[in-house]
Amino acid sequence: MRQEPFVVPGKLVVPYRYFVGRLASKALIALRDDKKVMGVRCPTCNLTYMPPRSTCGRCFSKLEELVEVGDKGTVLTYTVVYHKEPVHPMEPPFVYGLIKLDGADTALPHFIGEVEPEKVSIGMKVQAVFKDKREGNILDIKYFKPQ
Amino acid sequence: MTEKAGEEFLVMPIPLELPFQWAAGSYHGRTLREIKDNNRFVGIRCPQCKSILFPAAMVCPLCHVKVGEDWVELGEKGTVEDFAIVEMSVLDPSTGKERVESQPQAVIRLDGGAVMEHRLEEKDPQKLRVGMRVEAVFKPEGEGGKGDLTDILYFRTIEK
Amino acid sequence: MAERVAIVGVGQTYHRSRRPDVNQVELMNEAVRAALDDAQLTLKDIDAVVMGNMELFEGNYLVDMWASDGIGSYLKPGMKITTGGTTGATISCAAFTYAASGLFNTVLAVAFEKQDEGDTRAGLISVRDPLWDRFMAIGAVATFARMGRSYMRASGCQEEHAALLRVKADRGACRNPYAHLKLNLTIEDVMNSRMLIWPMRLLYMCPTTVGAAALVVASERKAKKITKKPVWVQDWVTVHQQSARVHRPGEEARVRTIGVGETSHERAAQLIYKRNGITKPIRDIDVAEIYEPSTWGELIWYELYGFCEPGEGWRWAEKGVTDMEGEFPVNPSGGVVATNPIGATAMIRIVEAALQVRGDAGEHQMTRPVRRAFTTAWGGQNWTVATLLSKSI
Repeated sequence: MRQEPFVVPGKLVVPYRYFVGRLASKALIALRDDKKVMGVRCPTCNLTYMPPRSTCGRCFSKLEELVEVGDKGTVLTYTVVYHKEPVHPMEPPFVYGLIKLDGADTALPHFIGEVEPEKVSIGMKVQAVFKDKREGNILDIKYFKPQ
Repeated sequence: MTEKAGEEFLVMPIPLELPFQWAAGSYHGRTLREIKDNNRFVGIRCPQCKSILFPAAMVCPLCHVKVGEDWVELGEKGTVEDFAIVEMSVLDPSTGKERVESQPQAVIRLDGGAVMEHRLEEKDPQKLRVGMRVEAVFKPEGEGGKGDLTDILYFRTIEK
Repeated sequence: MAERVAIVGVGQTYHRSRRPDVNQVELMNEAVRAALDDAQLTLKDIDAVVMGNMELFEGNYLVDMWASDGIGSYLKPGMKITTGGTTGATISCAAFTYAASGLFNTVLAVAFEKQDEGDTRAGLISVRDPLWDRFMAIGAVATFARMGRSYMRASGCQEEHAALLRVKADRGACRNPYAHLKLNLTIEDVMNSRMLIWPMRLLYMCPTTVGAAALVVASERKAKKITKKPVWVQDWVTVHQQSARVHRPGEEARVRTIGVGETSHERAAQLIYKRNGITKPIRDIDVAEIYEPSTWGELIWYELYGFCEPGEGWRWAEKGVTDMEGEFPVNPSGGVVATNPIGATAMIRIVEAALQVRGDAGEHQMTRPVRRAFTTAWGGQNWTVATLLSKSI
């Protein structure tokens, strides 16, 4: 006798938290309190990482030198999201971009706003738009808008 | 490890809530369906070593042979092999909330031979003992049996 | 084995309840730098990196995605491993196997847990079957409480015997600079600690710890060039046991570990002993670093590992056989009840055993020479990893 498969709906609900550490705390506090976007410099490789990290993957140096990378940058690439998913942070359509800030050597993933998705382009110059009420995380930048 | 006084360290709350659809498979599913529809416990017997698999499973983990259709009714009565009063609470990942175990937990050997864990109705430590006889009390009909062990409210003491 | 393998560097963090000053990667980085310094190597000397943790405790899945900068795995071969309580030992064994196979000469192994970021109880409950016993699961506290009750019923052991071992563990932890809980405990302190589930009191259970550990492992040729004090990895084994869902009338289930029949602890230990000519552990092994998430486990597992006869574990506690000065010292580091950064815990057993073999454990170094050390780990409720370390080949 064949029966319908027995499937039970369930959930996994756990309140996690994440400690960003000393270096990233300093960088995010500068963002929160002074609207300063900080990266970290590797003096050995002469590279500035954004987001900051405390070890250089290339040379394994300890990184401690936070530097301001500015709130302006260039779109390296982007994608437009048209479909709706519960995990998405906002209503579609919206744009995800990889943005190389002027003072950084690496790209920051973030949103691109205040522009029609069709008008976003690679190489576009953009500028950070800050939230009024900032909490000390990367979403204190609301999105990047065209300069 | 140095934490200077007054230094601010940021912490990001990351609440996780993921929905799942867990498939029981046909054998484990039969055990659960029998609980839901017929309020009874059934396992399956290994054709080779005669051990009872409960919840039922397709392959005997001792002999690695596929079981046949030798379904065994285990009965709803049993004997307490071990019990515990839980004096701590846990964060239950099924709800994300603290769960207090207000009833004693027990390991019960069903008269049909298989062992299961559940809760006891009797809370008086003086009346709890290894070897006590108990029987399963299922949720009343119409109170939404799901097909898992929460369809059983608890095991109650069988009066002599 | 194609190549013999040695541990040439060990490192660990100072273990604590909370580390808001570091993120997960920075925590691992501390242990990696310590192990590289200990080996007097740089990352250039490392051919492969194996890492891991128990993801359920942080809620960050695939931590290897962002760990490469901090642990030194950037553009290096390697993999990530998660096997429950045995994670740190399995990572170590993977590194041993890499080096023994001839694939890589020098391998870095990294393990961590940052338990201040999640909820350990929820993590442990979520390993249980959602379609069977998760609804009433309590986690490791209930598992070990049940072991304790069964053992007391079967053997004549009293709570005092567990308390004796807990005080022994604390003496070790107080001498170990890296240990988490250092409490200067008396028997009374232990027996007055909060009851969780009879006979499990708070102090018989491991803490939730933040910490990391790392090992540098090398093949024989390389090891002899790197260090004058290689710790030879004589053997390693992982064994699984039956699930708890096979029911055989007349057989008391879930007493000694969980499940029926021979346990993975017994088989793993016996395999190691047999393959290495160990007929009497108390004579042939100088120190053991075992994975005891609870003192109740420690008592019972002396018997399962064959250190002593069945039913003799609590008598050993009474006689102090496993004290640091005893005939068969177990966990001079203070063990898991003092320090438990879960993913790293099983690696810390190997780190501590290696330090004992080298003679570098400091204040908790055994006074008599250590030629051979035995370590264990327990994963889920169903598997055991055991290793044997040695001063000479």
